Amino acid sequence: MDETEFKDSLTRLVADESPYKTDVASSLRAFRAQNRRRRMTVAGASALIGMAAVAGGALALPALKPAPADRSNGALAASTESKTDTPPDTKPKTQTKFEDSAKTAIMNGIQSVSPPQWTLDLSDDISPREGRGWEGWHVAGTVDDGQGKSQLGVGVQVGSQKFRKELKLANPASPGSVFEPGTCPPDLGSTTCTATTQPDGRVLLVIRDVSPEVETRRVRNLVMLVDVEADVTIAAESENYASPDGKRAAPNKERAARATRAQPAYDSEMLTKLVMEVGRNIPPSLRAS
Amino acid sequence: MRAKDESDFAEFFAGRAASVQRAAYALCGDWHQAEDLTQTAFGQVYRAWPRIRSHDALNAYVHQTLVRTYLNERRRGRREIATARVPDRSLSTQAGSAVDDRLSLLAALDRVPPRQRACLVLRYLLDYSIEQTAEAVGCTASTVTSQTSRGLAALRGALGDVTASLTPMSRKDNHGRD
Repeated sequence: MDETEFKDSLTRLVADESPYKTDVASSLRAFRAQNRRRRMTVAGASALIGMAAVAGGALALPALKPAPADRSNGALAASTESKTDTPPDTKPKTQTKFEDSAKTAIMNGIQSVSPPQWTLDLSDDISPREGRGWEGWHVAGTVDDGQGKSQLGVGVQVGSQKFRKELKLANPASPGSVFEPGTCPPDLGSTTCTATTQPDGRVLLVIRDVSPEVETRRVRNLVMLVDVEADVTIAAESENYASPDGKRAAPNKERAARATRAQPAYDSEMLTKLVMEVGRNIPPSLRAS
Repeated sequence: MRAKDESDFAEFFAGRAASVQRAAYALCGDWHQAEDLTQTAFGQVYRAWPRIRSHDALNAYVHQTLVRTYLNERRRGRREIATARVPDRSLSTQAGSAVDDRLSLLAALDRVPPRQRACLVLRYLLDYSIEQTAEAVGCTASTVTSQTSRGLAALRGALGDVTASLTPMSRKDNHGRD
């Protein structure tokens, strides 16, 4: 048997059997159903806004009263030190400036869209910077609007473009696939994802993700405002679940989380307003960085 | 998905499903699993369809999805494969009829590791070049060469001297696709 014979043998191997009859209509119905059910693999999206380990000092805002600026800045500084193990006197001043201003912008954004009767239990978190090529400041925790705990996470990050390139490699749904910042990620199984370019050139990504597990039916609303040119991403997500202790579930524990309510406390419209408000409050120096 | 997109996809799916399923069968050796693989591959294409700018490379995309789905499933381990397999038979006694030839080849392919088998199917059934195979499998061209060589060696081991004349390096690149 030479190569030609081997090729012929392979051809006969698949041709002599009768392929099943393709029912296009029923297959299309199945594809549509899969599309609706499929859970977006947003380990990446969750990590995008960098709330993997919420280890900072808790900022309890039961009545949504804004914390005094000096107190919040102090909490931020303490959190930063504990996470990075960097002596305060060696910490770059610009980095502290970024963290403070971004954190203030995030808190203002959350308060601008959250009704005053809601209870927020939020923590601040610093994403590790070393070796990642991106940095960010994040606020995450749970929100209770009287209908059950709902997760909330809001983040500002610089270097998102590079980070998203890392994400694509980690995406098991499409290993090695390429997608550009400011576009809907391909092959993530996103139930819905829309990308809208704003008049100022930034791109608004609105994503809604519903898990396939009927018994848990985790729902995630995620909105990202991406400034590709400045490499700044503002992201906000809200989920209809929380970890058993009522806190925000770590991304690697999310599959075990049970839905605590039908829908996330913040819908896409609220999250869009939130990221827009955060974007307005970010200093121009950061946007231009 | 818009009606126009769905209509285009349905036309593509109807026209390509049988061919893709045959390739899937060559990969897994089981028509039922081939059907599953085909559905999974086209399901992923369906999701990506509105974002696909160039439909010229659709065949390559479907085959890439098919191969990677197959490799992922093999990596995870599908126990039903083991129970559904045709029991090993003495290959030397099966020559002489077309049916036995098919069974021999199928049994031999079953002994080839999944990645090597994928390279063989892409190279010899779908006429992919080394570079095209590398893109579909997600590895380098040199890996394809070595995997193909090892795959053929595994086939030789299973089929005895029947495929002894196969030499991967003598195969000319064929850039055509089905």
